[in-house]
Amino acid sequence: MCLGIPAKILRIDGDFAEANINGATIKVGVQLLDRVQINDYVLIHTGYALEKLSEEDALETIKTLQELEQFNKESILPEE
Amino acid sequence: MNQRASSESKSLSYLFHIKGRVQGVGFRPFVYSLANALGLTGYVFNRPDGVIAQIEGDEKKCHAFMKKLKKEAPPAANIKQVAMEPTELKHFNEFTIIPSRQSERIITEISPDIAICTDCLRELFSENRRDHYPFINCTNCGPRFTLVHDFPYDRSNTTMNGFVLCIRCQSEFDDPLNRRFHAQPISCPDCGPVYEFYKGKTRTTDFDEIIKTAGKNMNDGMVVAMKGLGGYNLACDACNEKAVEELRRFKRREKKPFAVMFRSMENLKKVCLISTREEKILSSWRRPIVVLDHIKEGAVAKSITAGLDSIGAFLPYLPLHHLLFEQLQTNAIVLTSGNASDIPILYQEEKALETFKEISGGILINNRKIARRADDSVVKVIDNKPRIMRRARGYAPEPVDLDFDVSGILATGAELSNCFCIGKEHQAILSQHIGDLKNMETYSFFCENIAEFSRLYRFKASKIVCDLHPDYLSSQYAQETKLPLIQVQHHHAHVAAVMAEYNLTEPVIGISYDGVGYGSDGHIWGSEVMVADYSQFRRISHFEYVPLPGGDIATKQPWRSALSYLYHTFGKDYKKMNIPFLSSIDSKKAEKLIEAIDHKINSPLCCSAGRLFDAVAALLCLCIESNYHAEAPLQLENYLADTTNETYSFSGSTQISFTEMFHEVIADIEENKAPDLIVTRFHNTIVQVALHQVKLANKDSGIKKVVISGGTFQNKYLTEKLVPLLRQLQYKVFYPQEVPCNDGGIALGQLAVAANKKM
Repeated sequence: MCLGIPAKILRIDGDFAEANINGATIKVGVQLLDRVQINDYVLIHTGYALEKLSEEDALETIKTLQELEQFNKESILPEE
Repeated sequence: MNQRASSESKSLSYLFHIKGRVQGVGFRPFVYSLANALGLTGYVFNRPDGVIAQIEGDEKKCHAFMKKLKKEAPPAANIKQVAMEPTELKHFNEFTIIPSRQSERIITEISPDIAICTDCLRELFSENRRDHYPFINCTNCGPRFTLVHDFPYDRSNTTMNGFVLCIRCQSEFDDPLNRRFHAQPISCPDCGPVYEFYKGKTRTTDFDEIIKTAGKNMNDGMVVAMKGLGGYNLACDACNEKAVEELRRFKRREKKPFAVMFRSMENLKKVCLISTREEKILSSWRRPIVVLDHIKEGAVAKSITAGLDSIGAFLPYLPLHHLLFEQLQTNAIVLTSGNASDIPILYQEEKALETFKEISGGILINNRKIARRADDSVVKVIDNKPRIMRRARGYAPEPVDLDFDVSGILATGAELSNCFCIGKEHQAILSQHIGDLKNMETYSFFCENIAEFSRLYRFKASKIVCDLHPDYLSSQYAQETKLPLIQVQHHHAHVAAVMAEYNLTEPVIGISYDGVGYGSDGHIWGSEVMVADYSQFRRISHFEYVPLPGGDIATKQPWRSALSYLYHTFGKDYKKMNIPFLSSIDSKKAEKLIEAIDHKINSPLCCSAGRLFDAVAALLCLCIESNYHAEAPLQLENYLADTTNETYSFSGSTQISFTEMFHEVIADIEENKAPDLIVTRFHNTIVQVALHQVKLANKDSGIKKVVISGGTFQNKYLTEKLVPLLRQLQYKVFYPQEVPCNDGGIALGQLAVAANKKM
């Protein structure tokens, strides 16, 4: 499954930017977007920012992803 | 006859060319002694392509020589071919070993490591200068693969190069009648490597004291780290629950069963029922871990087997092991690779001293360097044949001989249980077991080892072949080389590997059942019956596709497969069932999973046999969450009781549906039928399904040769039920023996396919 992940732009340097995903800083291409600013939320896929996201949407998606991660980690057996 | 009786039998002369693994295994000394014993004259020498010998003498004695050449060859020799022709008499005065010229000493086969032989074992415990010497070896035994830096196999090219032979060792080395003649790794207490022992800040160098302390510490329930043959091992008393607990904590390995080394065959026989075949393998020079069906309850600490009846057992293979047992009260020890679970075995001193500093019983190191890692190999006897499950010490780097040229091909293998393979002329050389590439350490081991094999075998890849799975690290490695690339579908590679082992050139029916493999249609395969040759395959039949919610995570959480099959079979009605499985899982979480299936979120379609086994194991509450790779099918196998021939129902042909089976399984569970009955019926069903699929493929193709592979067939019951049924129907059955049927064999299949594919 192809999944875009929301990230927050930290620094911009021409066609590339540094973005924060879940605490990690990665380098992403921002050529595909018209105007990107520091603190913008963007959707990253295969190293490129594909679209801008509202902060609200971004945070909700991040929360869902975290829930999914938690779900995958947790035991299916009820706690004793 | 009269002639011979009346006169002295005439003198003859024969020229021999012996091919196979005949170098580095004491073959020339053997030929020398044999010729001398028979009073024959002539010579013997090594050539790159084998051993050449000429013998002369009495006709009868020449014939005796021919007979004994194969029969009495050194244990680690593997004679593949003997070419013999009569030749002119040269009237030699004696039998000589002609020294090989440097250029002639490039050998193409490195011998695997060889367990201590009976002669050395006798010396180890009797009065002589190697009494209690832990590095004792001879032409018939000792380290090879883990010791060799380079070809030719000379001491200067081994990690013994820093140790100059003393006068006494040198004279043994030079004496053709000595069993240490040209034994490259020999030494003695005067000239060889030494052990050191570290515990906290104390360092001990006297070996006698070292072995006594190590033994005492183990007797007191501590864990000891020690340098072995292909890496560091951790050892403790297998009967001491607390010691085993420390080991598990250190290795971060909570449940996976440990292999146990027994003091002797006699001790092992007291607690395990062993077949003649198993006994032979356990005590062979390869000395692998052999998976035995049943160990007596209470024979070892309970947590070792983690609830299974079976046990991986092996016997001492190093002089050190024998010396250690001499100090021990216990007859069984855990001896496991010294590393956290799933990362490669540690083999360097600096790292070992750092890593093991917390180990309670201390660290034994020595200054004989390990050239390369090798884990213990694992063998299981199925259908009364030894089947290798993990190929490393004692087996690697034995080549597989092929009927076609594979020069210049590098096959990168699968991702889990990785093993790669290089092609040299008509030989496929498989690397030792590498492991799960997803671990960074294992991946670097993989990369380093490819470089190392390339250097050692003077190999330069001109073509590279990998799995079809784009995300396998081994596939990505292949892509990055920028060499001409061939991708091979996972199950096609499984089938081709068996074809290569048996040199089958005509199309076959291939059964390949396993956990997961990337299919040509982008779905997950693993229940394949195909018509295949090396260059192509046609998929004939597979199980019905079912969503696999969570993808890879499902392999660790069998409950996901169970729930997916339930939902697939019963729809939302599954919730109304009154079965223990549903009451033991969190229903809210279960519903979330159903939602994911409905919305197709990370739920690839999958038809693998492995996940079907997972589903059944979870439904029976035998394994809802898996603690280690393949726990679910192992738990199922543990419940097998060969008490019923009953099966469940299934339908379909090109796509096998298990809808009826799951209805019947649930009914059995609801009626509180014994799990062993359900498990056995399930296995019988799979046997019938495979048979049904093969018949379909036969109807389609007329082929009568069947190849069986894939990790699922590590299951003894399944194989031993299916094979005779196929034979009854006049099928000729082939299953892998020398190469693992799990993903460890994939690289060989890839290599064979690549060699036969036009680019």
